[in-house]
Amino acid sequence: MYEAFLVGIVISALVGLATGWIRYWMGFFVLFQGVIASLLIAWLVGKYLKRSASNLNPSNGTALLVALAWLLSFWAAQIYGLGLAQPWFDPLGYFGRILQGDARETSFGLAATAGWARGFHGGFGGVFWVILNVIDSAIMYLFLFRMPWPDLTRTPSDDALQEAAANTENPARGES
Amino acid sequence: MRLLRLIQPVVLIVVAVGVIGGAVAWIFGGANDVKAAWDAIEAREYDQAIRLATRAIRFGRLTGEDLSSAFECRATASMRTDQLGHALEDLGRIVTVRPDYAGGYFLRGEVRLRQKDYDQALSDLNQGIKIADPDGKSPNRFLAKRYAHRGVVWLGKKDVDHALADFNRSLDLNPKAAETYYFRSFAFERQKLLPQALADMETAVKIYDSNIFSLPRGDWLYRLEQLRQRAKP
Repeated sequence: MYEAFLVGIVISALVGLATGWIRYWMGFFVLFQGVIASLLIAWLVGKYLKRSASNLNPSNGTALLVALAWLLSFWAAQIYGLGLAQPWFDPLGYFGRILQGDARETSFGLAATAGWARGFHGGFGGVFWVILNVIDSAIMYLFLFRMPWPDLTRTPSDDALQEAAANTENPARGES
Repeated sequence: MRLLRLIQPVVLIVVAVGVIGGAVAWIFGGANDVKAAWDAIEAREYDQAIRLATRAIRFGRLTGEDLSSAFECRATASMRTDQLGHALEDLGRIVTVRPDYAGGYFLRGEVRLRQKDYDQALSDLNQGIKIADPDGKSPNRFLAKRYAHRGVVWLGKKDVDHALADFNRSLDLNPKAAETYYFRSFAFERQKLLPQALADMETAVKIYDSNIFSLPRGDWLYRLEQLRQRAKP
């Protein structure tokens, strides 16, 4: 579990770094950023763990903590990645000014109100910007928490046996 | 056959880089970004201006005048946010890209004046004026501000005669520049010409107050009062 946790931290950091870099150039894609980043992290972690021999079956409490740590790692790296895209490294100053409402970040996304889905884009700062980020991070946290951990108690031979059994059972069912 | 296997990935990489580069250039139109960056300066959104100008510089494949405009926009945003070191970096690039463009020297001179680096500021302003007003007879009103800046540099170097000459030239070009009267009052004061200093200060405050959008300037009013007290017989 410890190895999985560390691998997740590294993968979250790498995804966060790329996301921050892209975010500076293109803007903040509300919700989609969180969804895409969390799915990417979960997929990459899952791919790595499938090769691992350890047996993972985390409890809800552990999964919540692991997801939180990955989210924090993602955010730290995202801030750093944004700073790397800037002409002069100052990501905290940039986010600080947006937080204070002195600057605005280009944001866009989709919103559904009363059954109507519509796209929105513009510059957001201050409290509204915080709300958009909290929503995005909450979705990301949910996706990371609910990621399907690979069932390592099953082996490839188990899968092959089950598949073979299914293939042999079907014709028999048809005959009866 | 072996050679083909070696060339194949290289060709694929070159094609991929070309496609990605083309897509990036298509998404980030350099000229549009520069225009949007200047609009952001107008709207006082300096972080946006820096971001858009940087995007134009990095991905916009700009050259010559457009590239210089992107650097100038970023430098202007840096100046307005008091990041003078960053502004100097960009202004240095403008001077390199367009050595015959007076604006780059003027802005760099202004930054160096704010840093109180009078010698370098004077060198830049001299160069800018040499390009924009080679015979000293240009009627361009925009040059008034530059002559006023050079006058302030001369004041900083304690050369009052040169300072007065530049302030006079500046006021010839734009007689309604309140700040130039304000600066010239210091030059007169240094020469112990208090009535002239007081007259300039009164003109400066009068012009300044005639603009309904200008905020009250306590420092100017205080200076005016001080000069009035000292000019009393």
